[in-house]
Amino acid sequence: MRNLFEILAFFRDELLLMLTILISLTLFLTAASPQAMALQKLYTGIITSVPSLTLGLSEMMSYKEENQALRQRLMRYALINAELAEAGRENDQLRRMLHFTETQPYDLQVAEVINRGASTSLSTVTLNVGTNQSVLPNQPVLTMDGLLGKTITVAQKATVVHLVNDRNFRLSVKVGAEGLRGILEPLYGPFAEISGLLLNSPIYPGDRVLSSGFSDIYPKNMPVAIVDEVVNVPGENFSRVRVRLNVDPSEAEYVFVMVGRGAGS
Amino acid sequence: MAQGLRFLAILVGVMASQLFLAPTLKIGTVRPDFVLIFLVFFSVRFGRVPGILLGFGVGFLQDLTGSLSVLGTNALVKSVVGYSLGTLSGNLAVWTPRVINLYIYGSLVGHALLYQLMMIQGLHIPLGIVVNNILLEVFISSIMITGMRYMVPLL
Repeated sequence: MRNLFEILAFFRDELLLMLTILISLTLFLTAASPQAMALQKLYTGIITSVPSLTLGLSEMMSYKEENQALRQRLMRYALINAELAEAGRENDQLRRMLHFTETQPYDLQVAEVINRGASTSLSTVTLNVGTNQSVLPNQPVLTMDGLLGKTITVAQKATVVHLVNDRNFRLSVKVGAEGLRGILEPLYGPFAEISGLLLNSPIYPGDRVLSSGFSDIYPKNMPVAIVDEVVNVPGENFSRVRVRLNVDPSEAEYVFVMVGRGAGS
Repeated sequence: MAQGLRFLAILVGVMASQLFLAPTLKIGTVRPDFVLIFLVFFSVRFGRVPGILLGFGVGFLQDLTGSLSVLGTNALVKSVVGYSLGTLSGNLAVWTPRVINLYIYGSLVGHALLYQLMMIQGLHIPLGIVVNNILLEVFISSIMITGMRYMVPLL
């Protein structure tokens, strides 16, 4: 017995390493368990209670530039809006003629990105809204350019967003003039791949990728990406469609949470 | 007691830097890992067991700020780094500077390799991008450690 303790004491470093590796692998294989989500919620609450340490001066400098860009964009959207209002009126008339059901307008909650995680690669961002603002898990998060992700962990005053470029993010999308359905999977950086599209499908670089609507979370026709490259590999039955995501999560400052929408609502 | 408080203050500072400063200093898609730098100095000074425990703890905290789909990745990789560099604790006076440097920077390569391999599993990412990310991560960490070694001695 004494020998056993001596052996254990001699190899204590290695035994401790084995134990931590075992625990890490268990965590890895049971990721996103309710316990882990509860821990993340608690930790997010603690982080967001710390006052923001962002550099105020550099932010103020960039605000002027950003304001100018936003004014230009606003003007462009005002012109597009006028065209869309006419198209919308015509669409309403046609829907009534075809006896379509009324669609509900989306309820958007504006939020600011207050944290981008501590990992060396970006997979989540934290927003400054939470259950106090009626945000719930599994609600879509957008920027002005398109889909950013969905809410996963929601604390009282903070929300963690699962980003569209995270390795475990999947989304049902439609692409091309015919609206062919596929599954969007992230690749690296701003790129993603759409799987499940048959070889020689009529898809071309520049085609828009939109959410298909086959989801409890995302409404249909949300802009997601643009087709970058279509590769037909001889011998394979499916095309490899590489797309560029509309939103760069590392640049997103202000976003919109679609409250009253998604599986969580 | 005073040393414990000092350690806690440094740890909080490092975690805050990782949370709030690292995203603004990213190169490409890779951010500097201040936690790793702290772990290197801590493990070399205090040895394997404290290195493994700290590596696991801070790695787990880093994972909690992520998407949870890779929960445990940083905890595992940083535990291994803590063990690996803790070995240096009793050997700094014995090993030659060249071997010590090789060992430290080799551990950084190992960290980047293991981390990137765990992060990309299941995705169709070109090998060139993976290699690029590994080299970039090693480059950033190496520069920071080399710079820090001029300010803070390893022992």
